Amino acid sequence: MAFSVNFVSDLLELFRYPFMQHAIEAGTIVAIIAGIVGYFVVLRRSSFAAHALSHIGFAGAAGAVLFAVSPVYGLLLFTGVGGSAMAVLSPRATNRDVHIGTVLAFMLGLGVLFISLYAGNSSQTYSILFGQILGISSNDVLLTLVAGAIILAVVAVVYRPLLFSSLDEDVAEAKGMPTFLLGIVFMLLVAVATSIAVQVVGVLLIFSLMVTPAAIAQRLAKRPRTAITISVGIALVATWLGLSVAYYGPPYPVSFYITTIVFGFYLLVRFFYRRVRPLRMNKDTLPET
Amino acid sequence: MQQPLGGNIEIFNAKPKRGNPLIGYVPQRHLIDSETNIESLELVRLAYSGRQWGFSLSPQDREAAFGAMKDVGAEELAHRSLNILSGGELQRIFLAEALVSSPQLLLLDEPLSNLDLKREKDLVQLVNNIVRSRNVTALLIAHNINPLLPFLDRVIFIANGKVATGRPEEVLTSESLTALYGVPVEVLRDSRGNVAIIGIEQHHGDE
Repeated sequence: MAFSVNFVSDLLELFRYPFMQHAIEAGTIVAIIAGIVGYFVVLRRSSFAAHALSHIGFAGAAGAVLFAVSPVYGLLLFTGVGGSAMAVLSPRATNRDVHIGTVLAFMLGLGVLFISLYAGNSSQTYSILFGQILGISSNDVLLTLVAGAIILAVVAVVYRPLLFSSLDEDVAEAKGMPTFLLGIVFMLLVAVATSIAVQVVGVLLIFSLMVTPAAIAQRLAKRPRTAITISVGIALVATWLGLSVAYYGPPYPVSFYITTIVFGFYLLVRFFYRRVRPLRMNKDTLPET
Repeated sequence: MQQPLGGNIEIFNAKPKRGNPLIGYVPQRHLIDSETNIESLELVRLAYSGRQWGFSLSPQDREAAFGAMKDVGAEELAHRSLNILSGGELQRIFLAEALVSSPQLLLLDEPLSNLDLKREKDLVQLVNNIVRSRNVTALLIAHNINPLLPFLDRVIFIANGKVATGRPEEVLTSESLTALYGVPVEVLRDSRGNVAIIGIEQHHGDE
């Protein structure tokens, strides 16, 4: 598709087909949610948990397909149960990776079983793994909107306690804050966010919306609200740009474009942006290499 | 929280519980990740209002946070990120974090570990200033009592399942400490009245 002179009509062209409208609507909601939840994921150093949850979701989605239910319900069920289990089994960060990895391997094994039992074609498996943003129905958009609204409302309520307990869990606990409960709430937020983000980038590429934008934002801003804004901004730009390029340019998968754009942001910030550090150097302030 | 094997513990006329606002706690180790790029003011503000549900930080907690940071001499660190602060600077931020809710008792778990001599001295001086100016009690746990000696009001010595407690001049004698530790301990006084406590090494030939 070639560009015409009129930029506005080119932009409007994006919304001409319902499948593109749905993609833009769902993509926008997912980018906002992933950018926000991702900030807490990075702050709590739980990126492996987020990664694992999406893979656990894969087993759920495969199971849902087997029973002829929409994959998103399987995703919600498995990530919700898996996330709560992780929070209960290892409330502390110590050794968490081992527990998560153990649960993850078992769940992926289940996923393989479900796929082998499913006699239909494998295109659904493929879209769960890598996302299928151009195949989103208006029902999916509605579900995404509801899930997104719930996440936003919960984050607005737990914002301060969650931020404080993510930053300084010991003191938060000593202050009598419900750190265990907050851990479960956090995991459920990640579970729901993951379940809706799978439509856009798939379980294998979830990192690109859930973790990388927030990690970039954390390098750029030292106030949480600024960092969250930047994180959402990067996720939005990558999603919109990815959709546009796939629409106007070479018709490669949208999730490929999104992950590439996010990775570009990451490289840019990682290598061309240096935080201003005080000149005073001692062993505690040496920058990490 | 640990439960006592016997007897009762009471603090401020009540059973100990988590979340007593009269107590400010500084744990021995804070895990601040080298990637955690958050300004220190934000941490102190959250220590003031982080228990409340909801989204906004108010001007009130900003004021309280600045007040606490001023008291620990860390105003100029307010907008610095936690991951670039030195050990001594972080220690002051954590002290402000505990102070910001105006506790009556400060619990400091081994605040002197990992500090060099100069910072150790600065921190002890700082805690002393806070105790006098804010009229709080500081309960400070330490393995090495020497840097604390000039400022102590009361000591609780715990060793080998035994406890010695009282005013420093009563407890800190060569006889009582030797009895407590079960190894020879000497309390030395230099010409300026400084006190130092040292364990005397037993030579193997003495056995």
